[in-house]
Amino acid sequence: MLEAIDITKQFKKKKVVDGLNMYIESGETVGLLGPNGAGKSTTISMISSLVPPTSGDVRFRKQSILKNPQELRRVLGVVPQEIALYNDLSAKENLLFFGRIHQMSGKQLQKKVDEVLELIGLSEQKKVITKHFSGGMKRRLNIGASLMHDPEMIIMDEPTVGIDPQSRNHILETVKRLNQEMGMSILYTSHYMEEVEFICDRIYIMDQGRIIAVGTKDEIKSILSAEKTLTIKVEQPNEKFIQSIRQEGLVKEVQSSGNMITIVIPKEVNLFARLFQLAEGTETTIQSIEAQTPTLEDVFLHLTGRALRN
Amino acid sequence: MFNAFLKKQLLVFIRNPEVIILQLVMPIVLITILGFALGGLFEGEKSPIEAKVAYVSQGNEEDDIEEFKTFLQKSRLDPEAIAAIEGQIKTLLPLKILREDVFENDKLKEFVHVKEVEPEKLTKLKKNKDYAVIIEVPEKFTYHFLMSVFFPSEQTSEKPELKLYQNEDRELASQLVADIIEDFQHQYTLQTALAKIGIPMNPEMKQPAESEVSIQSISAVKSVSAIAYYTIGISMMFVLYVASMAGTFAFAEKESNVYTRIILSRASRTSYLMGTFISAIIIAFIQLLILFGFSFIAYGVKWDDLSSFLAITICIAIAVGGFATLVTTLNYRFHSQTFSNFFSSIGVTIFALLGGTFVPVKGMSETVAEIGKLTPDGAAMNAYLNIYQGYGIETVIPQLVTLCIYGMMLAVIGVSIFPKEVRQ
Repeated sequence: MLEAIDITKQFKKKKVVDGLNMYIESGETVGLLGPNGAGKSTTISMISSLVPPTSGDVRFRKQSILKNPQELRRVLGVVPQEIALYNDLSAKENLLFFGRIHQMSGKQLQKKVDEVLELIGLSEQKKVITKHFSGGMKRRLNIGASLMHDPEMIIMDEPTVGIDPQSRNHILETVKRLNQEMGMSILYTSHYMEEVEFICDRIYIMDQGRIIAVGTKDEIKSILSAEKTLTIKVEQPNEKFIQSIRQEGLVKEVQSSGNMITIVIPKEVNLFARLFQLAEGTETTIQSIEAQTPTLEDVFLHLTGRALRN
Repeated sequence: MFNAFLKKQLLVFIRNPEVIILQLVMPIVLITILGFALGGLFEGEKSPIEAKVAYVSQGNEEDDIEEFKTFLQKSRLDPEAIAAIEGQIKTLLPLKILREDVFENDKLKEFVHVKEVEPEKLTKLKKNKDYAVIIEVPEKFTYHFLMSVFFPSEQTSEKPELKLYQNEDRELASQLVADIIEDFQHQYTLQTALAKIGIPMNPEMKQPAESEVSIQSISAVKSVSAIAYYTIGISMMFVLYVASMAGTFAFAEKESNVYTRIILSRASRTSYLMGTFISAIIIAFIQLLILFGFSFIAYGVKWDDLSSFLAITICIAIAVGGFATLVTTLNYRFHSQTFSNFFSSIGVTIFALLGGTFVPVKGMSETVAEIGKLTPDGAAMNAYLNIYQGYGIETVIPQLVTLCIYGMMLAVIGVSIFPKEVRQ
């Protein structure tokens, strides 16, 4: 349905996106995962016809959108990362505006506004001025505004940033419904692994402008099938202890955050006894060690050497 | 789609308290303060038109009459004819009638003040900008006049002509005096011609009928009170803030990615900018109606010619729409709100100073006053003041054209340089 072919975006001398290839089939939910600054938003801008790539092509139903983006725009809804709404208008007035600029009017428009308000759970608050909404409600309305013209495909750029867990769940459920009940194709970008795991059929992992892994959840996790992750909780962070773990030949990755240390080791290796020895030698008290099955977070750590949210 | 932009823009403006304060409360407060505090500057003027006229005579009317009488005596006319002509001379003296009967007319004296000045001061006088008109009476004017009436075929007879020096800085006043003299001349020539064929001079000729019309038209001119002046001046200043506000709101749309949504909805950039243009026009128009309406209700600043008032208001609103479009474009083009801020802090202030918002530009240098007339404030203020004083719409056509050109030209520039690709 939508395909990016070897697209690159360069601002001055810096390549923000570098030779990226990806596709979305009709009715599919695709995740684009990567840390802040990975180039996700620029990729979305190019795919949604807002910014032309420096090189490469974007095709919608086999036709390039670079010269004629109108057909894509007709069926595409975009939920930007920012709250792209008028703060001084009510929820209903915002939806009416975005419906009108999509050439909707009269009863059709009113009906669609009611439907969208119902879907995003803001029917009761439709007359409330947007600036008085909570962060979560604004995010829901932000999604609603992009649904006014019944898009076939929707691109969501980190739609759950900075909101409470309840609103986040509501949004994730809504996204699922859009895909499963309405058949919309969805490209969902996030740096929250669990959201992408929950929603998406297929995942692209992006870092520093390039796709570093692609596949279904299971395919990507299988990258780590030969490895396991241990999370060590220590009483006090101790750099000597971390260094001593790094020097262990079988340890592939070490990450620390506060009093938590995450290490990746081969699946068959038992390192528990050795870890307690190292702790004793560096006067560190281990409070717990937990072995985990691989997550997308682990995959990202494995592929880039960095945590997603760093 | 255009209605969507318009409705949204109006709602956004109305729902912003700072907009209401800046666009309505502040100008009302300023009109009140300046109107009352600086009222003294305006109260000294009984009439908006005051013409100082210098009367310079290079000759002597009595000597001219004597010379003419000598000529009469030497002529071949019989004594009876000579006596008849001598009898008519007293009623035919144009300078005497002009000085004593026209310029001394009670109504005219309110506006026109005539001062006799010695001929040797004429050169210096021409440099004196206080005088609206200098009337120079050439040597032997009366003699030549009488000769042209009674002996038109005599070769010695010259065409008697008054010289009129008009001060361009006092266009209105000088034109008024010129018109009065021209009216007088027409009437006088007619009456003299009639007298020559035996129809006596009309005693009312001494106050020419057309001059009466001119005097009445001056009487009809309304003086401008301080409150009226500052209602116009302050409104012209604050209406320009609509443009910077429109630019600020548009930039916020870009920053929050609302503009992205608009573009993805397949709305054209032109229709987006036209939405800005037209909504700024409507908001500016409504703002001016509220400010002038307040001034009418609170201070009695009344517009007798409502249709001309509305025409000017529409034209200045169009100019504001043009500025709004250009400021929006520049904000987008340079990815910064600097242009809105620059326009509201520097641009509006410069226009207000040059246009005469705070003090009438007539008191400034000639160059500044000329430049001031070309600013949107200056053009609109000139137009409003003329209409307020009772002049017809035809007197303000250049100002209306200037304002419309501002609006259209800036809107076209804004649309043509609006960026095709929007930086994220």
